[in-house]
Amino acid sequence: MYISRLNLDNFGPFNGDLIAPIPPGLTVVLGPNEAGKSALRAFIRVILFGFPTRAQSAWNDYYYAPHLGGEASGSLHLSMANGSSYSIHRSEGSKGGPVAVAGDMDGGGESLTRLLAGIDADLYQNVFSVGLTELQSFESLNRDEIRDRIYSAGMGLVNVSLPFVTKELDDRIGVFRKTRSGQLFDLEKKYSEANARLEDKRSELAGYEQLAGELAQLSGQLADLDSRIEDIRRLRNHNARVITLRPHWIRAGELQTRLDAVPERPGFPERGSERLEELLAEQGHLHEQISEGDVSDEMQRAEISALPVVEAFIEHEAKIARVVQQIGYYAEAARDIPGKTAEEREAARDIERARDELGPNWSEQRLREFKDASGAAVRLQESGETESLAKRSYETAVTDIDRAKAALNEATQAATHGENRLGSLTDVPSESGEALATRRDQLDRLQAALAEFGDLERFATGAGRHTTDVRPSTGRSLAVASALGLVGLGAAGWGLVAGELSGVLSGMITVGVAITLGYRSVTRQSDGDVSDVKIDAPGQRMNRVSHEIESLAHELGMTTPVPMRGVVEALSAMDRAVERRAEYERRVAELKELDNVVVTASNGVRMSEESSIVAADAHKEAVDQWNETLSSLALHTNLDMPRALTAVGNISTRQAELRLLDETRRRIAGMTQRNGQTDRALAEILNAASLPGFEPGDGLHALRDLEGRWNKHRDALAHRRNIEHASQSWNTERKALETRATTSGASLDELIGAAGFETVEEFRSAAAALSDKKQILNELRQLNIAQPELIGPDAPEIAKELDLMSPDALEAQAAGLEDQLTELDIERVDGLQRSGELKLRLQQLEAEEGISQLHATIDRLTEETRIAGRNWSVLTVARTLLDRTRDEFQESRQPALLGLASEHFRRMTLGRYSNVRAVLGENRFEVVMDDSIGKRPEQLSRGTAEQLFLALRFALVEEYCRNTESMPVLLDDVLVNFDPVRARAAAAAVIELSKRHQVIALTCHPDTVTMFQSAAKEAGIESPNVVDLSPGALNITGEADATGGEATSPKSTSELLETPRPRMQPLL
Amino acid sequence: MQPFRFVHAADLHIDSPFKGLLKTDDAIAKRLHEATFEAYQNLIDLCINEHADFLVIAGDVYDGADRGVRAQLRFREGLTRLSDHGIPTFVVHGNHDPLEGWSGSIRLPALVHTFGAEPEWADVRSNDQVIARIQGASYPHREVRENIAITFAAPPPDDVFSIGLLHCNVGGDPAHDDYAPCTVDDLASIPIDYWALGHVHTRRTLREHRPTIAYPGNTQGRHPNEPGERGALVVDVDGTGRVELAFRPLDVVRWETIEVAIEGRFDLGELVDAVSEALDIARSDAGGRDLIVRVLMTGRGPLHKELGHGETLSEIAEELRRSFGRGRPFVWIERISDETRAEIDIDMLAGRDDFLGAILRRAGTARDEGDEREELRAALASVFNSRRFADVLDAPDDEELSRIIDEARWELASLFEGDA
Repeated sequence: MYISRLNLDNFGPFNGDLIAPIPPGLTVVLGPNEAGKSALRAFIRVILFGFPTRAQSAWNDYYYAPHLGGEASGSLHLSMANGSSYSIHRSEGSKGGPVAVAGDMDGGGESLTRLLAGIDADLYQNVFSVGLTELQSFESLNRDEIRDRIYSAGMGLVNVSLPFVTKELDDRIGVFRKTRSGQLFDLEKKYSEANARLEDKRSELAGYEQLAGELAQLSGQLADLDSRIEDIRRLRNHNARVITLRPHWIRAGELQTRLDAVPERPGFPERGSERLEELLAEQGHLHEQISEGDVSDEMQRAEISALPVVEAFIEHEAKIARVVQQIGYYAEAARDIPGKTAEEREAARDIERARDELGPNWSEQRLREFKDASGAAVRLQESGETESLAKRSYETAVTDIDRAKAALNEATQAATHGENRLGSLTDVPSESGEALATRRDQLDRLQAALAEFGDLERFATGAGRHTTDVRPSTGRSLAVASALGLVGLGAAGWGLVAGELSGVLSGMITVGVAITLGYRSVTRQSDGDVSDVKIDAPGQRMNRVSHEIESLAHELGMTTPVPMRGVVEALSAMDRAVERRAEYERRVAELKELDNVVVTASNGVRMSEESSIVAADAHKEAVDQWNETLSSLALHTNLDMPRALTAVGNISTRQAELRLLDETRRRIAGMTQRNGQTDRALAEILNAASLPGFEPGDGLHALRDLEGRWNKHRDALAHRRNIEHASQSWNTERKALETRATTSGASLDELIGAAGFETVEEFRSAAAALSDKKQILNELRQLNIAQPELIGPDAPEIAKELDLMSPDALEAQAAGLEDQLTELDIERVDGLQRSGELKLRLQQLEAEEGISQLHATIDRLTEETRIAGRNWSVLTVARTLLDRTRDEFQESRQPALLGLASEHFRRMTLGRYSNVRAVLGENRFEVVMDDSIGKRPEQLSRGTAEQLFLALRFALVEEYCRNTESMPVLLDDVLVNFDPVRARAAAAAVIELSKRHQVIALTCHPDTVTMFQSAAKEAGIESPNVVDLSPGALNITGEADATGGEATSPKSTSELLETPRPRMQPLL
Repeated sequence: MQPFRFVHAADLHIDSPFKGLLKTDDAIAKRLHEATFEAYQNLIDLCINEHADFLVIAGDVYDGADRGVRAQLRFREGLTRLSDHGIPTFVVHGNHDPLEGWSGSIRLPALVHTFGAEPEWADVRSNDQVIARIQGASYPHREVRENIAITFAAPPPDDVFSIGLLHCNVGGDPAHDDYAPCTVDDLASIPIDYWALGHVHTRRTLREHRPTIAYPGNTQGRHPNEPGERGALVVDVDGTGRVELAFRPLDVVRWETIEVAIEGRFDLGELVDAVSEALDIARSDAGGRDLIVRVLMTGRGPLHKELGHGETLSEIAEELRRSFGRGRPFVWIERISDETRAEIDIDMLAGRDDFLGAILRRAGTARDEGDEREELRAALASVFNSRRFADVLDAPDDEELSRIIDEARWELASLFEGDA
C-alpha cells in the first residue's frame, strides 16, 4: 500500500494544496523550518486515524489549526498492491471526525480499519511514522501492546488483534475469578453457608435422639413390666391348670395299675394274632379251591361221552372236507343240466332248419366246413345283376314302343288342329307383311311432312315477336348466373376459411348451377341466333316439304292435296291390314312345324320295335346263367337274387350258432362227470361211517346230510379237546395249591410253636390278653394328648404338687396371684402415658423436612459452581494457550526480526556492529560489535543508539508486513544526528527499504536530498521523488491539479540541487 | 421345588434430593422432593399387586447416613403394609446407608430381616416350607473396598433356591464408586442361584442363568445421567429353579435429555419450535409421568453466535417453561446447554502458518497428549487445588481436561475469527 496523493484542503498552513502523484518508492519532502513538514506528517496521521481531542496528549502534536480558520479537513489516496485504490476523506469532528472511504470499497471508519489491517494510531506512530522523539526512546518499542500488535500483524490476524482477544479473555475470566467478587467465590460462599445450616439441622436431630433415647428407656421399663405381668399370669394359669388336672391324674393312675397286671409275653410274635388268623384263613381257602376244582373237572370229563363225535370222520377228515366243498357246485350242476340239455336240443333243431333252407345237401359237417361265403355272394351278385339288367332292358324296349305310338298319335291330332285354325282366318291381305310395312312408313312420313308444312306456315307469320321475347330473357339469365356464380364463389371461399366442407360444397354447387345457367343462357342466345337464321329461309323449307308430300302421295297413289284426315285414316286401315297379315303368317309357320313332328314320331315307333327284339334275346341268356350259379352252390334253384344272397350271408351266423351248440354240449358232459365223481366219494364216506347210502339223483340231499353231520362232529371234537386241555391245566394247578397248603400249614405250626404253644386255642388266649393291654395303652395315650401336662417335662412337678397340695391350698394360691396382677397393671398404665407424651414430641420433630431441602440447595449450588468452574477452566486454558503461543512466537520469530534489524544496523554502522540480539530472561536488546563485545543501547552514543532503533523499526516494519499489506513509512529528519558517513549509510538503508515499502522522508536539509539521490544511484534505482515545501511551491502543484492535470511536478531535482545548502544542525 | 415370585429392588435413596438441578420453582421442588417416596410406595404396591412371596432390597435404602426420621418412618410404613399382607422383606445396607449410620430408634416390622455386616443365611418360608434361602451382608461403614462376594458361603446341598443379596460394583463400573468390587466370575463361582445386586443405578442383567446376576437399577432417576424408566425386577422361579425376570417401572418423575441441532436453522423461532416438538415427543413417551428435561443445543450454524449472546438461552428456557406449563404431569426445562460451535473450519485454521494456526495446533496437541497438558492442568490449580473449593469442586480428570482443552480451542478460534 502506498499514498499516491494528498489533498490538503484546510490543515495548518495548507489550504487547497495538492501533492500528487506520489510514487510507491522513496519520496523526499524538502522544506525549510516551518514550511509545514511536521504538519504534513500530522495530516497523514489524522486522516488515517482521526483528529485527537483536546483532552488527548496527541492534541498538541497532531492538531494543526487551519491558518485561514474553518474546519480542518483533507483527503489522501491509497493505492494497494492488488491495483485497487481508495480515497479517504476526513474532516474535523467528534470521535476522530467523520471519515469517508471511496473506491473499490465504500464506507466509513470500519472500512478504513480493514484497509489499515488493524494498525491503530499507536502502532503507526511508533513503528511507521518515526520522528526524532520516537527514535530517541526505546520504550516506545518495548510496550507489550506494541509488541503484541506486531506479532498479531505477523500472525495474519486482520480483524481481531491479539490484544483484543487477550482482553476479552481476561474480562470473561474476571467474571468468575475476580477476587472476592467473582462468581466462583460467590457460589462457594453460598455453598459454605448452606453447609453450615445443614450442620445446624443435624444438631437438631441430636435433640431428637435424646427424646428417642428416653422413649426407648421407658419402652424398656414397660417391656420389663409386661414381662413380670406375663410371669404372674403364667403362674396363675398354671395353678388353675393343676386344679383341673386332678381327676385325669387319678384316672391315669388307675390305668397304669391295670397295665402292670398284664403278664409279659416277650416271645409272642408281633402281630401274632393277626398272622394266626391269616394263616388259618389261607389254609381254609386253599382246601376249598382244591375241592371245588376236582368237582368241576369231573363234571366236564363226563360231558365228553355225550358229544356227537364220529370217529370215522376223523380218519376221512380230508376227503370229507373236499366232498363238502363240492356241495355248491354239485347243487348248481344238478340244477343246470336239464335246462342246458333242452337248450342243446332247441339249437340243434334251429341249425337243421337253416340247413334245409339252403339246399338239400347241406349237412352239419358241410355247414361247419363251408368257408367261401363272400366269394359265393360275389358270384351270386354278378350273375343276379346281369339277369336283372337284361330284364330291365327288355322291359324298357317294350315301354318305348308304347310311348312312340302315343307321341305319333298326339302329333297327328295337333296337325289336324293347326290346319283347322289356318282355314278359319278371313280378310287376309294378299300383300306380304314387308310390303305392307313399307307402305305404312310412307304414310308416317306423309303425316309428318303435312304437320311440318303447317308449322312452317304458322312460323312464317309470327317470327318477329319470337325474337324480342327471347333476348331479354337471355340477359336476365346471364345476370342471375353471374350473381349465383359470385355467391357460390363467396360461399366456397368462406367454407375454406371457416374449415367447413359443407360450405365449400354448397359454394361449388352454386357455382356449377351458375355455370349451367350461364351456359344455357348463352346456348339459348345461340339458339336465338339460329332461329334468326332459320327465319331467314322458311320459303325454301316449305318448298322442300311440299315436294316431299307430293312425292309420297304419288307413291301411295293418293291425290294431292292430300288432307291430313285422309292420311290419318289410311294409317289406321294400314295398321289393321298389317296385323291380320302377321297372324296369317304365324299360323302357317305353326302348321309347318306340326307336320315335322308327325314325321319324327312315326320314325320313333319303328326304331322301338327293333330294339325290343334284341333285348328279349339278352334276357333269356342271363336267366340261364343265374340258374347255373345256384346249382354250383347247391342252393335251391327257385331262389331269386335277394333270397340267395340272404341264404349265403346267413351261413356265417349258422356256423356261430353251431359253435355255441358244441360248447353247450361240452358243459353238460363236464357237469355230469364231476357230479359223478362226487357221488362216488360220498358213497365211500357213508360206507366207511356205516351210514345209509343214497339213491341216484338223491346225491345232493345225502351231501347236505353229510355236511350237517360233519359240522356237528367238528364242534363236538373242538369242545372235547378244550375239556381235555382244561383238565390237564387243573391237574397242574391242583399240585400248586397242595404245595401252598402244605407251606401254610408249616407256617402255622411254626407260629404257634414259636410262641411256646402247641394248639391254636392256647395261642388265641394269649393273643386276647395282649389285645386288652393295647386298649389300656390307647386310653392312656388319649388322656395324655388331652392333658399333655401329665406326661410333659413338668409332669413330675405337677404330680408332686397334686400329691402334696390339697385342692383348697391350690385355690388360695390362685387368689394371691390375682392381687399381684392388679397392682402391676396400674404401674403399666402410668408408663404408657409418659410414652405417649414422648412420641408426640418425636412426631413433631419427624415432620421436619429441612435436611433434604438443604441437600437440594447444596446440590444446586454445587452444580452452579461446577458449571462456573468449568467455564472458568475453559477460559483459563485458552488464556494459557495464548500466552504460551505468544512466548513461542517471541522466541521463534524474534531471531528473524533481530536478523533483519542486524542487517540494517550493520549497514548503517558500516559493519562496526555485526549483530542485534535479545538478552535471554531480560526484556531488552543488546548489540554485538565486530569484536564480539556486547553493548546495551544506553552504552552507545546517541547517534549509534538512534541507528539501532531505526534499524529495529525497519525490521519491525518488514516483520509486520510479512503477511499483510505493506504500509507507508514516514521518517521525519531521522538522519540529523548521524555523522555524514553513517548518514549516507542510513540513506542507503532507507533506499533499500523503499524497494519494498513506500518511504516519505521529511527533511529541511537539501544535503539529505542529495544523499538519497546518491544512494539511489548507487543502488541502481531511479532517483527519489522530491517534493518542495518551500513557500509558493505547493500552490503551483495545487493549481495544476485544479486544472485537471494529472502530473503535478514539483520543482525539479536539478532546481533543488541548486538551492543553497542548509545549515547543519549540531549533533546532540 | 415350589414355584415362587419375589421382587428385587435396590438403590431406593428415599428422601434424597435431585442432583444437578439448576432451577426449579416451589411446586416442582416439592414434587421432586416427594418423588423417591412415591417411587417407594409404587414398589410396595407392586409387591402386593404381583402377589410376591417376598421382597429383597439390595442396599442404599436411604441417600445418606444421616437418614431423616421422615424417610425412616416412610420406609417402615411401606414394610408394615407388606407385613400386613404376609410379605417378608430382606434388606442389606450399602455405601449410602451403612450400618454405622444414624438411626432414629425406629423398629421395623417383624417380617423384615436386615442383614448384618457378615454374610448370613435367612430362610423364606411359605406354608411352613422353606421356598428360598437368602444370604446377605450389609456395609458396616461407607467405604467398603474389599471383595465381600467371595466371603459368601455356598448354600446347603439341597434343592432350595438360593439368593445372594449384595451391594457391590461388578466389573469396576467407572460410573459408580468402586465399593465391594467383584467380578461375574467371583459370583458365578459360588453355587448361588440368583444374585440380587444393588449399587449400579442402570438396570442390567450380567448373566441370564445359573446363576442369574442382575441389577434392577434405582427406583427413581434423580439426575440427568439417570434418564429413562426406573423401577424393580419381578422374579419368577419355577419348579425347576428356572428364573424369569420382568422389569416394572416405578418412577414418578422422569429425566430426559433432548438434543437439538442448529444446523440448517437461521431463526431462533425455528429453533424453539424444534425444541417444542422434541419436548412433545418426550412427554408422550413418558407415559403420564412428570418430566424434567435438559435441552442440549448442538451442531454448527449461524445461530451459534446468537445463542452466545447474553441471556438468550435462559430466555428461551423461560419461554419454553411458560409454554409447557407447570401443571401435572409437568414438563420442566431444567436447563438449556449450549454445545454449539461456530461455523468455522477449525482444521483449516489449524493448518495456517500464523499465530492462530500455531495456537490451535498447540491446543490440539495438548488435548490429546503431551507435556503441555500438565502445564494447563497447573494453570487450573489456583481453583481446583484451593482448600476453599476442595469440598465443592473435583479437579478435572484426564477425560474432562481433554474436553476443557477442546472447548478452549474452539473458544480461541471463535474469538480470533470474530465469531464469538
